[in-house]
Amino acid sequence: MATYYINADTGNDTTGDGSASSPWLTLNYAVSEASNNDIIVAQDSTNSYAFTSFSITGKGLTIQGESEGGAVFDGNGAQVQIDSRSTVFAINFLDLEFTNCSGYGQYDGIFRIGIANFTRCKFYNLNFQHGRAGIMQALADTSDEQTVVFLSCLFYNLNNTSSSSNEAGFLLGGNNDRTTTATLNNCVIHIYSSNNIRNVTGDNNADKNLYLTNTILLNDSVNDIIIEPTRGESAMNYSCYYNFVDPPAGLNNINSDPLFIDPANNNYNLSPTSPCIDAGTLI
Amino acid sequence: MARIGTYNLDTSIDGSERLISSNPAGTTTENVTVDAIASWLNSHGVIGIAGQSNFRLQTIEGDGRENGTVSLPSFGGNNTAFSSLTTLRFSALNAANNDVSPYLLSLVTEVVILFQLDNISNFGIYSLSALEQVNDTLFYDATLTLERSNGNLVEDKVYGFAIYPSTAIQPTPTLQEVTDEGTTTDNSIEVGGLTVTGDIKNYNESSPDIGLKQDNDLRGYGNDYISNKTIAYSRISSAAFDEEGAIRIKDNVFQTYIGSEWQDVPTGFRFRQDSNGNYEFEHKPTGFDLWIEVSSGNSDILGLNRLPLVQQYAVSMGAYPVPLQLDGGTF
Repeated sequence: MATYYINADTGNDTTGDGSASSPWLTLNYAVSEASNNDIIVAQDSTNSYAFTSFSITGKGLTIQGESEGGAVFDGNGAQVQIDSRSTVFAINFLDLEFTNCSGYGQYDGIFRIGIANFTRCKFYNLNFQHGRAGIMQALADTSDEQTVVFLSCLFYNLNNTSSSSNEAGFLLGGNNDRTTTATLNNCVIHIYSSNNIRNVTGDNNADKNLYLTNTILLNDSVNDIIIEPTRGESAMNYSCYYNFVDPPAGLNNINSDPLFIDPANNNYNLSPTSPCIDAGTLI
Repeated sequence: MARIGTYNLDTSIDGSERLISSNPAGTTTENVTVDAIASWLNSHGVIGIAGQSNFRLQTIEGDGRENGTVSLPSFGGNNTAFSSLTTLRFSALNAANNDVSPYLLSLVTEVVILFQLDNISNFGIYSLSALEQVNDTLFYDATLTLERSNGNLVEDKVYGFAIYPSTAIQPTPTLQEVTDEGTTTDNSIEVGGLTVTGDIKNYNESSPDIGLKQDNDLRGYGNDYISNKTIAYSRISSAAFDEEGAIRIKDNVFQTYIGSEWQDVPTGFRFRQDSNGNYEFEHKPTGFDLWIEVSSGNSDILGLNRLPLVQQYAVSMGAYPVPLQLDGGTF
């Protein structure tokens, strides 16, 4: 198991060797050089990392930032997709931020990964232009189930410009009859009412198994965003939702303003009077 | 008649040579062959050898079985191989009308030889297992089991019948099947000449233990004893006897019976060295995924603000755990 490094400021895919002192520049190149179970560390950089499409084939990888906010992957407004459809190899993302990119097509998502684990990642300023698009796109084969876990992740300023407003989701998209199982623990989802989001999951023509625990869902003002998928299993426990409707069945949920300190400026720390403090459960 | 001393001295006697004789009354001169004399001597046992009795083979019934004969129960038998004989009928009286039955009876269970007196190469050696008198007659049927033989019976020949030296017959070794399984009553197994070098399994063959190792209790434990086996796809139930060493899972707690009481066995604990080199004693409650340090109650997993998601066993919602607040109490 090797560890390689990339750096958006000083890295060079041609002259670098992937070491901490001579890192590569792009994640794409590091992924192509890495082997199964290798680790790619995105060093803290002033510049954002270029976020462009690439595929991962036949290997599992861990891609992690060096510290909070130090590794921002910016799609520069373009359509992006990281494609790893294996249901054997897991792709793990830690301490990374993904922003300013799109899933344009009917089913296109920014990530199309069979087994994905996101820990302490941020997703913001993302656009989708179809109701069946989303951050996670389902796999190609109906027999391959996609599994994704988000732990302590933040989602905000997600836009959907779909004309099919009933399908306008943001999290899970993809084709008909492709199953996705998503688990969100200790996550924050902040939807702006003006961004045309109507559902958490998106596509209603496939099984979207959604399990939420210790998660806070905040909608700015309009009380109409549906949490529970139309198809599949779902459960929500020890979570807080505000201006959302149709929460999945569960225990110890709170329908209340979570009282973030300053959500308008993306400060999602809990204020001292938040009802979410010590209201979660062990996971 | 000339003086006998005037005849040539015959130093090479032929059986067909004739000698001057007379009838039993001594009134008529007769001649007799040397062979005839020899046969008479044999059949009448006049010249005795200890342990031997002589019998003439009678093959034709004629006027009935004669004294001093040996015959087949249904007569015949000329040119019959010694190897095929299983029963012979002996006369209790020899040719001189002496009762030899006590002698014959004494041969029962012995190894005996029947041989042609004038041609020792015709013989049969047998185990004589029984000698039964035939219907109150003076004849006895001998039950024979062949040991070895050569040649055939010849009618009217005289046969010697005697004990064959037992040391001359070594029993044919029979390799008995010896297995390492069976039931014994004790461990003092004596097998003449054999040295048992391996373990002898004393388990009860009809109720073997489950597994490779068999208990050496002479009775065997039976099928409630398991040794040296992998148990797969199995589970421990809540039902158990109150016996030392028993185990069970009761009310979601793994328990073992030690010291005459059921005691809980802690699960979901580990002692490890973390990434900073510090040693931590951690606990993962049943049904949860995060390990929590026992002393602090904090998880290793951090939130987006790098505080533990679990602090003092408490968890807040969201991605930003709340910093611990010290309570100064009431003044």
